Amino acid sequence: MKKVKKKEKDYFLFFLKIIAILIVVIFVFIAQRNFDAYVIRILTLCGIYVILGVSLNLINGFTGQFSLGHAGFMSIGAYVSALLYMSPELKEVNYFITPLIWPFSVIQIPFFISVIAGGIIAALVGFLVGAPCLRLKGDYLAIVTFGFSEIIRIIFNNLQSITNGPLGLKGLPSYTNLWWSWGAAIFTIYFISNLINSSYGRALKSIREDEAAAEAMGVNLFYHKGLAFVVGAFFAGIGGALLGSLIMTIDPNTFSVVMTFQIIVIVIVGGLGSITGTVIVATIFAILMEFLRVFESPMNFFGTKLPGIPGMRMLIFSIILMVVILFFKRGLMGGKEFSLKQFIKIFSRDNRVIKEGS
Amino acid sequence: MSVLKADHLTIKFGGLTAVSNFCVTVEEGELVGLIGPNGAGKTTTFNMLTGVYKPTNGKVYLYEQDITKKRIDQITALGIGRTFQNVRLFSELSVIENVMVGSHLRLKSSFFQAVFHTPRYTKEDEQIREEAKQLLSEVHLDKFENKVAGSLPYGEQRRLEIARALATKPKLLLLDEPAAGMNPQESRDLMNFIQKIQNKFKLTIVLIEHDMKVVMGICKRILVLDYGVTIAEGKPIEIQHNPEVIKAYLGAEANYA
Repeated sequence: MKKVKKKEKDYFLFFLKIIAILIVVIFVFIAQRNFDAYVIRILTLCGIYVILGVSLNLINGFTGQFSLGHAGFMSIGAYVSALLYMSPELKEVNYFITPLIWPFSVIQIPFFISVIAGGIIAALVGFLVGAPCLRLKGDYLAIVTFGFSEIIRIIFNNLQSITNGPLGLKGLPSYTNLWWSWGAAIFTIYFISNLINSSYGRALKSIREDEAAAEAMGVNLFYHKGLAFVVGAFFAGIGGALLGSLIMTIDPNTFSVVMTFQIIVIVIVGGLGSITGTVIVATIFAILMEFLRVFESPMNFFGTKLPGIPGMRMLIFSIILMVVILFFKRGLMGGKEFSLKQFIKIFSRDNRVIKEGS
Repeated sequence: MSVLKADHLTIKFGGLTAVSNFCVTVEEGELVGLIGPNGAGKTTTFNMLTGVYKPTNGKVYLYEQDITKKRIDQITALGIGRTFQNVRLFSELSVIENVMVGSHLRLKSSFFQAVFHTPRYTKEDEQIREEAKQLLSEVHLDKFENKVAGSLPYGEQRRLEIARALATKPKLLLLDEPAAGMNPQESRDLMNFIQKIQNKFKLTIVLIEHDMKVVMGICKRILVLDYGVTIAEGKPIEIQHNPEVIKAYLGAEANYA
């Protein structure tokens, strides 16, 4: 009897998930056709922030390894993919001081494959960086990963013949649209939430809770931490690749530590260990980033003219962050998820049917 | 064949010899007690047996296989389960998830099968959940299944820790002060509980304990450590009357009293 109800519930949940995805698809369809370019751009950015936030949450929130290296992985993804999808002519225009080295100067492959390639190379670097650092814990790991992302930036600044150095790559073809960003975002959410809800996810969370106990329960710390790093880096690389094609120009300083902190803010405000929290906050963050520009323009304030201060919106973000930390110590969602199960629970007459919270 | 054999285990931290020449052979189905005053090196010994510390000298054998150099998780996979002196649950995970983590090392599905929830993985996960439920009902925690582990009362947390260790399917179970902080009634229940799980899961158990009632009540053999040295070994009744042990516990003056 109970078994049957559980099956029914599973199908119902599956159905709801499909509907949720359909709503997003329809929304994207309408938005792509009717909204103006500015709004579409903001919405696209939302999707990219979702990818970045969710992937960082896997490392920082679920596995409990405080990493500050996300911008480094993003920049690898962005550069690798750009080198692959740019046309040879465009490359020639860009690299007018030092020519691009051979294999990259002639190849051009489809956007989709180059984005995946960017993700894979980022994941590979994630593994190479992760392997030695994963013995470190807490603050030490944060410092090392922070250092790593700076090293990447400096290397990219100096590898003239590959990255074009501080000149950056300009006039990148604009492939990223709503479909790309939200498609990738949905895949990221699907992949990482499934991972979290699997046996591997339990192992990752057990590492966050108590490393020594997790190890004593047979969880291979190195393998699982490495896994979180590799998966996180992969999606960071994809996010970076999509971002590169959205803003159409990348240079090493695009992916400075400020970028990492923006994503950290998203993850912490959303709640470490909450995917839904991250998604909600990432969306709000991307929108606020634009709407708070108002504060940077000159204002008339009761007759006095205030000059516009660039960077003012970041100040406002800091205040929001402080307020959230003060009043919601564990982020808006605090490690919990807003789930469809709860949604059914609220509306179902027989509350006993659903026993497990997700 | 002996389940566990420790051969002259010695560990030095800088100039301090925490445990020296610890030798023990534990046979199948035994319940051995490890006692000694505070700081005698009992937990350090456990940590050497489970691979947390690598001994400076000596070797550990599990079923005659040398496990001294193995990683902690490999040793767990080979069949040593343990609990901790101060309860170390995954406090924000639910009770059943705590137990399910113990089954992770036996997961056959690959990472991608798990991520994409393939039928094979789903079936395996279902099975792990079922096993975990059975274990929980074994330790009478089934009603707390979906509660957060950290919210359980202390005694229940101790039992959950044992259940979690059992989920790794150990042959040898090391219990580090299972009765710490329990009242006499709870200690008695715990004694019964330990004997019950030993029979049920065909376990060999080594336990550290300060509660003499528990130790004398259930252990067939007792080892006494003092300042890292094994000062006595034998049946409970022998230990109780061993002058060395009395000296270690009560101090040298006891002889003149």
